[in-house]
Amino acid sequence: MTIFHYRPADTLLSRMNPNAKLVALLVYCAVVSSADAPLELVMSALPALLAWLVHLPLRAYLRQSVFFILMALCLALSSWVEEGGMIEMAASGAGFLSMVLSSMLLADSTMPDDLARSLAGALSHVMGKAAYGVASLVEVTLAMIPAIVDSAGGLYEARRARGASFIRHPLSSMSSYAAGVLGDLLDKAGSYADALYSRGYDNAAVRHRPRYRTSDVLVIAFSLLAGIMFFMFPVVAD
Amino acid sequence: MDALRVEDVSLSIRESGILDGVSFSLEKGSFSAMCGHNGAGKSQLLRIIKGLARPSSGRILLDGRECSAKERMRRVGLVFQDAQMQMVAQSVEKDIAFGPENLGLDRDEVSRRVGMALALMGLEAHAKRRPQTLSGGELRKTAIAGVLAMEPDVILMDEPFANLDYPSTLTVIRSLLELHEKGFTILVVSHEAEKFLSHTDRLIVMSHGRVVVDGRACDEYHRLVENDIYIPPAASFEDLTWLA
Repeated sequence: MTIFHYRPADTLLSRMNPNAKLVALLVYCAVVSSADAPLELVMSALPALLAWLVHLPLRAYLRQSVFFILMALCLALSSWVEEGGMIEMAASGAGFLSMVLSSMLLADSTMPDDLARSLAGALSHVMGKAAYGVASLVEVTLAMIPAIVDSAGGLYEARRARGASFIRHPLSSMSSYAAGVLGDLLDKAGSYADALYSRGYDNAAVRHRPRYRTSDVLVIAFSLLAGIMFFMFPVVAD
Repeated sequence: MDALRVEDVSLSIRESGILDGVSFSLEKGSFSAMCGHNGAGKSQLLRIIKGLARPSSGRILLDGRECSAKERMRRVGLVFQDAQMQMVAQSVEKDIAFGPENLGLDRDEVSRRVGMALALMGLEAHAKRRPQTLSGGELRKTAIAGVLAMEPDVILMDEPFANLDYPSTLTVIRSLLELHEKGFTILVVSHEAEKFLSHTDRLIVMSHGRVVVDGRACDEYHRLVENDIYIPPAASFEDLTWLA
C-alpha cells in the first residue's frame, strides 16, 4: 500500500462524489490554517476520526509519512520559538498533519480519473469543452504511468544485469540510460496513440462522470456554509 | 456477402515495399487466420484495414462498399498485441466504456454496451478491478471487451496469444470461439497456428508483404511449413489446437 494512492473499498467516503470531497477538503484546509490554536487542535481530530471510521491503514501509511512528520515537528518548533505557547506549538504541528491526512483520505477514496472527470464536469460551466480536454489529458497521463515505471525499471535492471555501473561513470551512464528510457517511451507512445485512436479517442468528448447524491449536495452546502460563517465572523477566527 | 474485402493494397515506406498488392476477403460470420513470419507485413495490413495507416494504393470495402478511414475506425475493431498498452482507464468497466463514450453515446447506451461486453467476455466479476491487477488472459479479454463495446462489424486481433501462459491462452481461444458462435466476423493474425488453427474456416498466409496462400484452412494448413510457420510434425488439421 502506498500513500496518496487509490485503495478500492466500499466506504462512505469512496461512495461520495469526488467534487464534494474536494470542496470539503479545501474548506477544511482554509479553516484549519486560519483558526486560532484551540480550535485548530479540536478540528485536527476530525480527519483522524474519519480515518478510523473508514479503516484507513494508518499503520502502513505511517511508515511512509516520515517526511510529513518531520515537517510537522519543524513547524511546531518554529511556532514554539515564535509564540512560546505549548498549545500553539501542538496546534501548528497537528493542523499540518491533519491537512496531510485529509489529502490522504481524498486520494485513498477517489479514483484519479473520477476526480478528473468530476472536476471537468464542474469546470465545463466556465471553460466549456476545454475542461473535458484537460480531464482527458489527466486520464491519459495516468494510464501511461505504469508503462513509464515498467520501462524505467526494465531498462535499469537490464543494464545492471550486464554490469553497468551508475557510480563509476555517472554522467555517461545516466545520459545513456535516460536516452534509452526516452526511446522506449516514444515507441510505446506510438503504440498507445494507435490504441487510443482505434477506439475513437476524442480529446474533447464529454465523458460520463460520477453522479451527485443528496448527501454530496449536503456536504458541499455544509462545507461552503461553514467556510463562509467562519470567515464572516472574526470572533471565531481570532 | 463479404464483411470485409481488401483489394490490391500496397504500402511503401521510403521506397521500401511493406505490402505488395494484398487482396483477400472475409465472409460475414467467418473465423479466419492470417499467418506469416515476422516482418511479413501483417500488423501494417491490420493498421491499414482499421484506418490507422494509409495505403500507397488499393482499397478496403466493408459490406461491399468502399469506406473512408474514419468509417473504418468505427466499424472495424482492432485488438492490439500489447493489451496492457490498450488500457486507458482505472477500472475494467471504465476502460470498456472508453470507446462508446468516444462515439458520443448517452449514459444508458454506454452502460448497456459495457454490460453486454462484460457478459460476452465473462468479466462481470472483474468490472471494478484495476487493469494492472488482472492476469494476462483477463487483460486480453478486457482489451477484446473494449473493442466489442464499440459493436464493430469485423474484429481483427493482432497476435492474441503473444506472451500468454497455457491457461490464459485457453481462455482467449474459448472466448474467440464463443464470439464466432455469436456470429462475429473474426480475423486472427498470429504465427502460432498450432494453438488455434483447427477452429478456423479460412487460412491466409503472408510472406514478404504478399498473400501466398488463401483458402480453406483444412485444405491449406500443410503449406504453413513451407512458409516458415511452425506446426508440429505430422500433425493433422484437428490437432492444431490447444483445446483438448
